[in-house]
Order: sequence, then C-alpha cells, then structure tokens
Amino acid sequence: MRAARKKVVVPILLGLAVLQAHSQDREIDPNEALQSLLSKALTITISARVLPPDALDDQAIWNAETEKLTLPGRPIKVRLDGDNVRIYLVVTPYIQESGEILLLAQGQVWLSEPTDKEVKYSSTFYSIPVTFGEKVLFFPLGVSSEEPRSKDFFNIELEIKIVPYKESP
Amino acid sequence: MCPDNGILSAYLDGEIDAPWNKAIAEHLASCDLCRAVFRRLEETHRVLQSDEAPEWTEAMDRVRLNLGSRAAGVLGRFPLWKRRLPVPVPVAALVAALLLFLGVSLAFTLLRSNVGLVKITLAPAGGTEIQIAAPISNLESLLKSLGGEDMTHEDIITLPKNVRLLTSGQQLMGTEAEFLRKKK
Amino acid sequence: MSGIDYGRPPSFDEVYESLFPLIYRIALRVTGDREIAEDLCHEAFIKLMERASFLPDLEQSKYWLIRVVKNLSLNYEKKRKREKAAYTKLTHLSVGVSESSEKKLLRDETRSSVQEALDALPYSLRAPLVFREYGGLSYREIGSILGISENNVKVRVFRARERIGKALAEGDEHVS
Repeated sequence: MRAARKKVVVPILLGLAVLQAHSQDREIDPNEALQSLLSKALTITISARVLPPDALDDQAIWNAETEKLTLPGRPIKVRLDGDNVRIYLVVTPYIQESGEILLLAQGQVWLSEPTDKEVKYSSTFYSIPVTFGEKVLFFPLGVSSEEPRSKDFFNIELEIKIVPYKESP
Repeated sequence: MCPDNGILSAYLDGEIDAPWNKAIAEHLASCDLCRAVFRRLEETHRVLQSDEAPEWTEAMDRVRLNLGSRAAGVLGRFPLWKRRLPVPVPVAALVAALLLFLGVSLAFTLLRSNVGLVKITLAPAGGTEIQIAAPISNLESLLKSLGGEDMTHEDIITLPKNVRLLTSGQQLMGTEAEFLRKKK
Repeated sequence: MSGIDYGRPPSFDEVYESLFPLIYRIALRVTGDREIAEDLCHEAFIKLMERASFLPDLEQSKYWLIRVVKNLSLNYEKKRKREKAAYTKLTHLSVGVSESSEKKLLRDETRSSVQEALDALPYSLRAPLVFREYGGLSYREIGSILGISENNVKVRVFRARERIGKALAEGDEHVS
C-alpha cells in the first residue's frame, strides 16, 4: 500500500525543481503542480439505496448520492447513520502501473437488532481491481438469497464508481 | 367562538397585537380544539426550525473570494494567512492539500489567479513559507493536514427515519458483474 | 454578531460575515439546490457590494438581501418549470428512461425530509414560509417583498404550515 502511494508521489517530485541550498529564497509556481495533480485526480461517486424487503423490481424507497474529488492514495470516507445502524465506509483508490485501479476499502457496520439490545459490529477490508466507470456494489448488511425474513425490515446497497476527474466546460 | 386557524398561525408568529393576543391566549386556555390546532402549528414550526442548517463555509469562501477578486480596491486588502513551516514541504503535497481541502473551484481560483494569491517560498535553510491571501475559513486545519495522509472530512448521510435495517448476512463488496454472475 | 459596533454603519465584511449563513440557508430552503443557492448568494452580495456607498444597518441589509433572493429565486422557479415541462415531454417520447440517466437527475445530495416537504410546496407558499421561518421577517416585510397584503401573507404561511405538517406526518409512517 505504501509502496503504491510513493509511486504516485515520486514522479511529481522529480518533475518539480529539486530543493537545493540556494543563497536566496526561491518562489515556486504552484500552477504546474496543480495541473499535474489534476491529471491524476479522480471523482468517486458513492450512491446509497434503501431497498424494501421484497425488492423484486429493484425499486429503492430512498436514495442518496455523494460525489467526491480525490487523488490516488487519498481516502474518501462516507458515514451513513440510521435508526438502528451506522455504516462507515472508507475507500482509497490506487492506480497501478497497468493503468487499472485498485480499490482498497474498509467497511465498518454497527447494527442493533431488535431481539438483542446489544450492538453488533463487523469490519471487513476489501481489495478490488476495477476499471474506470465500472460499478462496485457494497452490501453492508449482506444480501439475502431466501425469502425475506420480515415485512418490516429493509436492506441497503451502496454503489461505488470511479472516473477520472474532468474539468467542467 | 373560535378564531380562524390562520389567526392562530399569525399568533404563533407574534403578529397579533394587544389586546387581541391576550384574548387568543385566554381562548387557547379553554378551547381544546384550537389548542390542538395550535399545537400542530407549533410542532411544524419546531421541526422547520430544528432542521439542520446547511453547511455553508465552502460556499461562503468561494463567493467571498470571487467578490474579492472583483473589487479588491473597494473592499480593501485581504487578510493574509502566513505560515512558516520549519521543514521543506513538497509543493505537490501542499497543492494536493489545497485541492482536496478547498475543492477544485476554489483551488483553481487561488492557484491560477495572476494576482498572486498563493505564494510558496522555499527558504535556503530548508523551511517553507506559505502565504495565502484570501479570507478562507479553517486554513489551520489545512496546515495540520499537511504531511498527513488524512485530510478529507467524512460525508455523513442520514438514512430515512423509521426504517429499520436488518442484516441478511455478512457484508459483501464486489463488482456489479460478479454479483450478477452469482445470481445466475 | 459580537464585536460589531452598532453605533456606526457596518462594513461590507461585517455584513457578509454576519449574514451569509442566513441568506444561504434561505436561498437553499427556497430553491432546494445548493449550486443555485450559492449562485443566488453570489448575485445578492454583488448587488449589495455595488451599493457599498450606502450600507444601512444589519437588519435593513438582511431585508434587502432577502428581497434580492426572492427576485432571483422566482426567476429560477419559472425556469425550472419550463425545463420540467420540456423533460416531461421527452420522457413521453422516449421508449424508457435508462437507470443511469435517472440517477443523473437525482440531485447529488441527501435531502432532509424538511427540504423535500418544502420542495413539494408551490413557490407562492414556500417563499413566505421560508422568509418567515428562516429569515425572521414580519408579515409586513414579507408582504412588501412579495407584493401582497399582510393578510395574504398570513394565509399563505398558515397553508404552508398545514401542508408541511401533513407531509411530515405522512413521512413518519412506514412507506408502503
């Protein structure tokens, strides 16, 4: 992980004026650095949908979306707070030499079920290779393959998508 | 005799003058129906008031910056945020911090302006001096985040109320294609 | 608002610092869109800046800014109606709107139930309510801004509250 991050930073450093001992202060134009960084910038879109228990048609009863700018190696964090649940998702993209993206993510879920008063906690780390625009689905509460257990309970699904940052016209 | 419900709403807003406001207060004390109406109006008012005020600092900074660059003469000089860091900071790291912390539009305006709003000077002794001439809130946080990897604030999304979520199994993450394959 | 000497007229900076959050909140609640709200604030403060030679006290500045927000938000509202009508025509023409384009139409922010309830009101009810609840303006001031009688303001604020109350109560029940 750390090696991947250095790979991104080092080429930028080499491209800039190297810090050397000069007799005077040197002013640096940050514009070049900005351009270079923007060429590597990424837009991560995270959408969340709450689905009814008998979601045959995939009709969400609620959705939300957030779009964030980031750079390779810098994490994006999203927290979802519900009545009986808290979901914390951290997503860090890395660009590999092949040009493909590696998504490293951690999902943490705190859930209190009505039966026990205790709060259940789960944490999972993920490492998923993706391409730009490819959708990644995250089910913090899992996916049930059988009959819905109860009419009153809902599930939540997140979708993560990464594209290169583009300046708006 | 009960007042018009609109009057009760106006009463809630303090728009009814004396002596009529006193008359309404007395009426509310004795009339269950009107009191119920009034309570509902009060509750709606309370909910509207308690709705979280939107996050405005970024917008405020952006607009201020734009206003400032429009008429620097009229408004006077910007306050200067000036810090001397004892260690050399790679310009890229600083620019990245500005980019992620302030967002693209603000970073653009700052870094690309030819008014010289951002100055980064490397001192021969090895330190870095940063000057940002713009009234941006929270630049101290930017400073703290320099060098650290963690400068993004988390987005907090509130899920709809009264919707109880139940776990159907372990958390899962994967590409959409993988999930579709599994379904079949 | 501490540190402001009320004995003299406030500087532009003081007005900006004190009033931006309030004006932004009003603009956002009345238009429902963050970008538009920011644009509106931008325009409003530019206009205020152009009158810099005559800056009344904070209360008057607030009233004046809200008045500008009302004019701009009304224009936005009319524009949105035209666009919505055009979009509705389009959906009837096309075979089916794909999911991804649907998603693009959903605003990329979480909407509180209050904002949703406000969005559902017609502008004529939403504006007076927002100016009252978030601007703290009197019925007389609101009437003056909207060009309607105080009594009319009273009726609209009341109707807006009734509708919002109903919408929020329904939202609390389980969605069927």
